[in-house]
Amino acid sequence: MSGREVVVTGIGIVTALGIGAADNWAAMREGRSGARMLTRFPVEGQRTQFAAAVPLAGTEGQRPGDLAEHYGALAIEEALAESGLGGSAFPGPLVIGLPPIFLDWPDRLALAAGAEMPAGGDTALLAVAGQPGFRPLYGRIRSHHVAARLADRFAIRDMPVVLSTACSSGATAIQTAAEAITRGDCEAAIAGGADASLSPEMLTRFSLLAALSRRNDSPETASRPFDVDRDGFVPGEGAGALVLESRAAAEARGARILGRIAGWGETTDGHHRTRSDPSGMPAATAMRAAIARAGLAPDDIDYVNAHGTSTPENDKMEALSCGLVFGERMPRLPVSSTKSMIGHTLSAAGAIEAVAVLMMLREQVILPTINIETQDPEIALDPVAEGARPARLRHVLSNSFGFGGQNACLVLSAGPGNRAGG
Amino acid sequence: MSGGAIRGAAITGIGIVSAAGESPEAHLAALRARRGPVPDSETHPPFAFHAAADVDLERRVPKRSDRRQMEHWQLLGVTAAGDALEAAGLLGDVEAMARVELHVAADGGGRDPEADAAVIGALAGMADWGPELNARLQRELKPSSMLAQLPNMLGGNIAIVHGLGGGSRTFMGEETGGMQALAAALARIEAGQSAGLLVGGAYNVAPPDRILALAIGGLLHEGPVVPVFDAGRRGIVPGAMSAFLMLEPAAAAAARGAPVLARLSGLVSSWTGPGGGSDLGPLAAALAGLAAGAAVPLAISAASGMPARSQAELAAIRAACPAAEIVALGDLAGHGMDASFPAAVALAALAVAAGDAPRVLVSGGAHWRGEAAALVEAAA
Repeated sequence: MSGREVVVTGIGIVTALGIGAADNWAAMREGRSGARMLTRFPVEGQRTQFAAAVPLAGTEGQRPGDLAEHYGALAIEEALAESGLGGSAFPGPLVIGLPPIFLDWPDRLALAAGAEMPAGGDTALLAVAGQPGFRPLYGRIRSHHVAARLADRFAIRDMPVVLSTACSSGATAIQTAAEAITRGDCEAAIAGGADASLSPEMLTRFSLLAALSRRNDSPETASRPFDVDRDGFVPGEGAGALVLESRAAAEARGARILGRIAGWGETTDGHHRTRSDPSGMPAATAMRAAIARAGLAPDDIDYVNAHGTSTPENDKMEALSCGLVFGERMPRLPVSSTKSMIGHTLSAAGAIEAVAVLMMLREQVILPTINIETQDPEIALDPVAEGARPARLRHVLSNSFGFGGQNACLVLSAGPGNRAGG
Repeated sequence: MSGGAIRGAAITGIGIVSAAGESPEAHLAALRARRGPVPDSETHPPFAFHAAADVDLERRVPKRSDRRQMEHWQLLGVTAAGDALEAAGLLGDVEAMARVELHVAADGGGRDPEADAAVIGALAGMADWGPELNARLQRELKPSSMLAQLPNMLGGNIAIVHGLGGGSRTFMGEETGGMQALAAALARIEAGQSAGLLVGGAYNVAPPDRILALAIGGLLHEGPVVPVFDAGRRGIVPGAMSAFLMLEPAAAAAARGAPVLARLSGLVSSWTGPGGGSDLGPLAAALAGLAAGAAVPLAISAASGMPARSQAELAAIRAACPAAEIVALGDLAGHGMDASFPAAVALAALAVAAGDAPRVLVSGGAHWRGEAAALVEAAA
């Protein structure tokens, strides 16, 4: 496939380990965990009572949509500042992965307080919903709201594009933006993901699907991808943002190039709503497509940033799919999961992890998988368990998978300014 | 777009379900009659809405175990998607289906009203309801309901039920999700980035959480329903619907001998400035640009019914094609939010395929911000 090269000229990141690339890099390089007991809302009665929450003061009582917007704004602001494109109208669209948004319980109960027969549920709430005092709540349940506010804030004139492909949303957003630049539709785009879904209902729903770790006695060691005793993912939150540009546009304005979005591939399983295809083929096909789109062969990939959720199912299936692509290299192939430190940031994960990969390409260091005590004997790969590892990194595969059989894979390559780039 | 790029995409399959019926034929009949069924004004007075027609769900989702995993909006979507794939001659072709890609417009929803009512009933009046909320949610929520409400799970279900294996992207953002899904699909096909893409959306208004959301926004028309472009129209009359179109590069459709029903020749979207408002200048320019060059006898609008923006859209359509008859999708089946723009394009394609009009202009203004214009023409 032909087309223009897509480069990255700015990155921004918000996770449980802090605000900004500098703090996140320092913490991830040390192998710190951002998971803690939750204090934002009461967790008594929940089966999982901890999370990798962004350590900002004053988040109590804030709604998921408002927080997602806040995290997204912080990440975009950082990415724009680094790119040098901030401060005036941005020359391209915002393409962002966001979670679905529904009326939150405090707001539903505020409506119920005014209803005559609240036990009638939402139908009973209809009678009071039209009162002008409740009108501002609509901003919290309008799907386009967060993206529109972010677009306004950064003077983006195009219609913001919101992608929601569950836990691969961030990667899908990057792919969609990169394609637009490749086509020549725009010279630049802000691609990213933001998620702040932590709430009683979110914890309950993922618990009912048996997806969450229950290590309430040890939140910091709960996310342990590839460990034999992994028991589920640690819910996380945050945002990642990338300023993408055509290579020609970036070079013309003398921008510093952090790396390239060299390839992308996506498939859908069509097997089961929450479980992966047992053959591992659809995910492997997405990886192969991303590597081929980058003009590379599997042997050119120096490192894989895994989806690595720490659920028993995902990590086993991901290793199987990687094995189909990388063959005999698997036991020696460095494959790590940043989710071991920052939890699973859901709709933001693909973007946050792309930012982490770009930092690795910049520093020529592979971030570790923390918390592995005993590597699952059925998972043959090098999880980089001993700590951050200097390495020559030219091309990195970043995997994202989601409920509904979503497989989205990116290849990120070192830029001309990187020590390993060319 | 570079000068040498291929323009337009072949529409090789259409599926559409709404209050106006469960088949393309029923929708063509409603379009020709210029009228749809009477909306339901009894269930949620003073609001009116269009529930979907009775759809034979077993037709496209034969397994009960699949049907149980889906909310009605997903079932409508899987049905319309199956109809479009079958019309395109792809359904059941395992090898071809493994490569078909998917763009879906959906915001999800369709919460379990009984579960929510039980939680609200238990917590109403409590001062410190935090811990009790946790207990009640654990008791009332069903494991499957999360998946039935997730926007991207329509794509997941289409993949599972119909065997689709290409990439699946779900676009959110009320009406703009439908515009973006189609715009990105057309752009990818024109640029050679996709060899075949099923694109559409689904929305169901019947679950109370969906109509409640619109009521909170003060967006619903109240009282006797008048047409979308009538001066007395005051807001949205929502309608459950799903529409899907199979889009392919014309050469790819020809190579596999697929029937080309119509051609999606162009699509231009625009973004209203902060605060929303009714300055639809960019839409007017887009409509005029697409309509230029040949007569347009028919225009189909997906206008929401919000008065100022709908009136501005009407003026923009009239200015672009003064001779065209203008039909509002909302008057046939209500406003289908995420699905409305794909449904309007589907209606246009049905009219073109039936020979009712050689070119149809499609217009859509979202209820808040964002617009799109498209042109559907007879296949060359």
